[in-house]
Amino acid sequence: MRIFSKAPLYAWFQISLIGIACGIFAIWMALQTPWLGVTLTVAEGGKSVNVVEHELRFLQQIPAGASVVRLISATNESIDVLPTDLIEEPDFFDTYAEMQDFFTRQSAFATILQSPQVTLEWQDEAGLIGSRVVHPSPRPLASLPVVFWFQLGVGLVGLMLASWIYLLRKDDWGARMFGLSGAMFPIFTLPAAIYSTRELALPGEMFRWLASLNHLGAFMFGCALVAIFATYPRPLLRVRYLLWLWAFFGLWLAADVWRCAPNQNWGSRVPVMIEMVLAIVFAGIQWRKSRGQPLERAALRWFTLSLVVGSGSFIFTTFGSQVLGLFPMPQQGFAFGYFLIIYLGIALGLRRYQLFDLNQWAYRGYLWVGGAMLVLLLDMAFAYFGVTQGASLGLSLLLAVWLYFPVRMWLWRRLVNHSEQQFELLLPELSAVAYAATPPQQIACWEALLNRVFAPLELNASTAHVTPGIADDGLSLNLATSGVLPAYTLRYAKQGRQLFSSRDAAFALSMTHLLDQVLQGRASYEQGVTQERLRISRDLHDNLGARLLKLIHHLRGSPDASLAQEAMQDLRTSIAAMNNQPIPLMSALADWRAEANARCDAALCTLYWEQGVFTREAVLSARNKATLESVLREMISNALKHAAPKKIVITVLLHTATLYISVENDGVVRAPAHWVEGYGLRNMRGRIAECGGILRMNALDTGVQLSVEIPQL
Amino acid sequence: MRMALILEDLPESQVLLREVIQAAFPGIRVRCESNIADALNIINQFQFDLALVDLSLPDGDGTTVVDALAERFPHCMIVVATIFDDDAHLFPALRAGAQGYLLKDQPPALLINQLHGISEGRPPLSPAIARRLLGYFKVSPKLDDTPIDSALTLSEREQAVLLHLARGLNSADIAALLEISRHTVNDHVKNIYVKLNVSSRAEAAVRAKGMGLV
Repeated sequence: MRIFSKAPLYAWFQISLIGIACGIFAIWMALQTPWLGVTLTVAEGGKSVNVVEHELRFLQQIPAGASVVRLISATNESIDVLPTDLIEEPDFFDTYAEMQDFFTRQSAFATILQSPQVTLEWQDEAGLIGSRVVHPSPRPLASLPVVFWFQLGVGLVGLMLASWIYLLRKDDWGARMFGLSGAMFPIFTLPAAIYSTRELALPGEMFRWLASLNHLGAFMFGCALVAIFATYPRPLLRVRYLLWLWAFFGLWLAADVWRCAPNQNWGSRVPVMIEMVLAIVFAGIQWRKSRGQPLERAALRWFTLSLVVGSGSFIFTTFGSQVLGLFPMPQQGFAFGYFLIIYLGIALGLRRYQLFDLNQWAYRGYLWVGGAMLVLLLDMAFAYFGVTQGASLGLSLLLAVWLYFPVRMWLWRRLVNHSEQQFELLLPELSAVAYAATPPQQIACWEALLNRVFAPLELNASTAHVTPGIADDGLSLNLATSGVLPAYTLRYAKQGRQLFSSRDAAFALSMTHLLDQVLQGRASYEQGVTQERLRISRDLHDNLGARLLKLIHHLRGSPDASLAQEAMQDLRTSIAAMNNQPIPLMSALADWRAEANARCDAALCTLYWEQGVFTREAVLSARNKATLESVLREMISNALKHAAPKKIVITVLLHTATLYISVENDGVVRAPAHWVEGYGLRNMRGRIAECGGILRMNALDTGVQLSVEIPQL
Repeated sequence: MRMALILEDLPESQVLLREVIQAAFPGIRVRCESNIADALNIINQFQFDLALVDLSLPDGDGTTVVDALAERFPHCMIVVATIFDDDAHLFPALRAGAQGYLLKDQPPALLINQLHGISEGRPPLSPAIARRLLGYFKVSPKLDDTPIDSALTLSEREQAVLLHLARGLNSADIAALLEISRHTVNDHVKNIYVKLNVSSRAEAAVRAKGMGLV
């Protein structure tokens, strides 16, 4: 049989409605006991019960600050009012006997309150005794104090939070246990709300059962808390062993409810403490096991943070006030708020979708809790120095606001924003990526930048298409491809210490967008340059080429014809150099060798070509290729023209990024020392010098050698 | 060789080329055209055994004419006459069916010699074009509809010859290296040209079929 709807949202509404119904029932119960219309409090020193507030109709009869001595019913049954009768929580008593006595007195009061008129005997500070007849009336809703509503609210919020998490992650044992603990929440807060805010008394038997219900809730909440840490993030033991937990503490609870335990310490305080300790122990084990698992660690950080802060504060206030007497006890009902802290933390930890922003959330949580603690501490301090409760709360809120916001701002900057990247500061680096000379350099720059910004443990270029953004619950961050840059997957932020947050994703997205824009800028600039080069080379080709060709035809047969032909060849070389791409050295050598071969063939001269071994990767800049090509051409031309050699030997070597080319011929010519350096030679020397090279000329036994040394790039 | 076509817009070059052709093949009739439209027109009227085609012409790229000539006269010797011998300029024309190229700025004696070479099966092949060819035959995708036959892939010998040409060696050097005759080297080069043309036509046919044109 299905009780709740299958859709989580509807099921959640249903559970919430049940919770609200329970709340309404609790309100109804709180209003059942007849009401006197006086607000009583324990006087300083705990000796008497004072009237601190009452309705206007008593104004004349009871002086403010008077203490209530006894109540007398219409049938003359009377009972003295003791300070212990006002105790919020029967757990205050150490022994069951004292507790039973308390319940008996409560019953007696309740009976008196049932009579149509009650005489209230009072004594003022001067010792004057007076009395006043009061007609108990049904308790008005408005008389329920804030702390009643607070407990009601805590119970409902706890239930709703836990059930929401449970409904979303029904198959997870951690979430199941969390849901169970949430169901226990109203069970211990609602009864407490009823009895702790009673005016004076409840029927003893009803009180007793409410108190037992409160214990049931507390015991089972504790079991569920232990079970959460035993199963989440990783199961520490078989789930069915957890049943022992309920069996054990269930029996203990029975012993407590039927008063088989020696006293309250053993009946309820010790088992709840044991549960707390167990939960903390399991939390510690989980923490140790999650080493190197950022995701689990992140969830646990929440768990433990909230557990420690929540239960720590609770223990601090109860111990501090009850045992050490450092400060007055705040109303117990408010202390349930601490459980809500635990609760919010665990809820956030379990709901893994929230984990992306976890680190910031964690800090926000710290700050919230810090703020709340500040208010509480100030309130207690003021109460300690005798400021009335209403005024002290107002004062402490005011002070807390003054202190809290500046401190919060400061801490927020220190804790969260310290690593915030200033986008403007990244601009130079992004430009460096975009304007790096070669794609491998671009990739290297980009990877360095990503490493610096996100410090991931892994940085993988991926060829497959990835959706940019966070993946694996924040363990990895995917980056889109951009320009020549591949898509990337970054894993384990900040060396594995953090998860990627949605802020990181947004930041990465902006980075890639900006990079895209800069890259586009570069691309369109280069496109413009290329187009301009193409236009110039087309002009050279169509106009200058055609004119040179005409000139060649006109000069045919004259000695200057070869000059025009060489000009044409140089034009070809220049145009080829215009695309500005580095040329593989092997290709350049092949082109030169083929040209030299053809020219030597035509001149009936033998070419000996000797070249070293070069790697495929060796390249020559376009400019150096053009310079060397025309210089080599001129050297061969000169040799063929002036020396009429039988053989030409060309040697090419590459040594430590310097290219060495020599052209030897065995022709008949004067030694270079006697050469008159003409335009041709000077021009050659100048062009080589422009590329950072040197031209040398040597006389050999068998002829002449010209050589060039030039940096490869 | 009975009829030659010269497609050339520069009058001086027309004169030069006419002289070269007549010197190389005495008795041949030469017809000159200076734009693509006229050339395409004349192709339909006469039969040509030889064509010298310039690539940059006032009304477009001479490759169109190379294509038409190769289609219409399978035995016609088509030679590109240009001033730029880089692969970017020449390769499309060679793919279209040109069997060689001349550089118009060279001395007439050399041009005559080269024309003889082409007609006798000694086509020129510069290192740049050889590199381009190596890339072409290596990366040329296996066409789905065409069975892989020897007409579309280079033989080992042809590959070896092409490799050496790409390194700038001349045919004499290659012949010595591969221990074959110079004549055989030239045959390989000629075959490479033919295969380039055949494969590019097969590729075009497949593409046309894919586009629903055939």
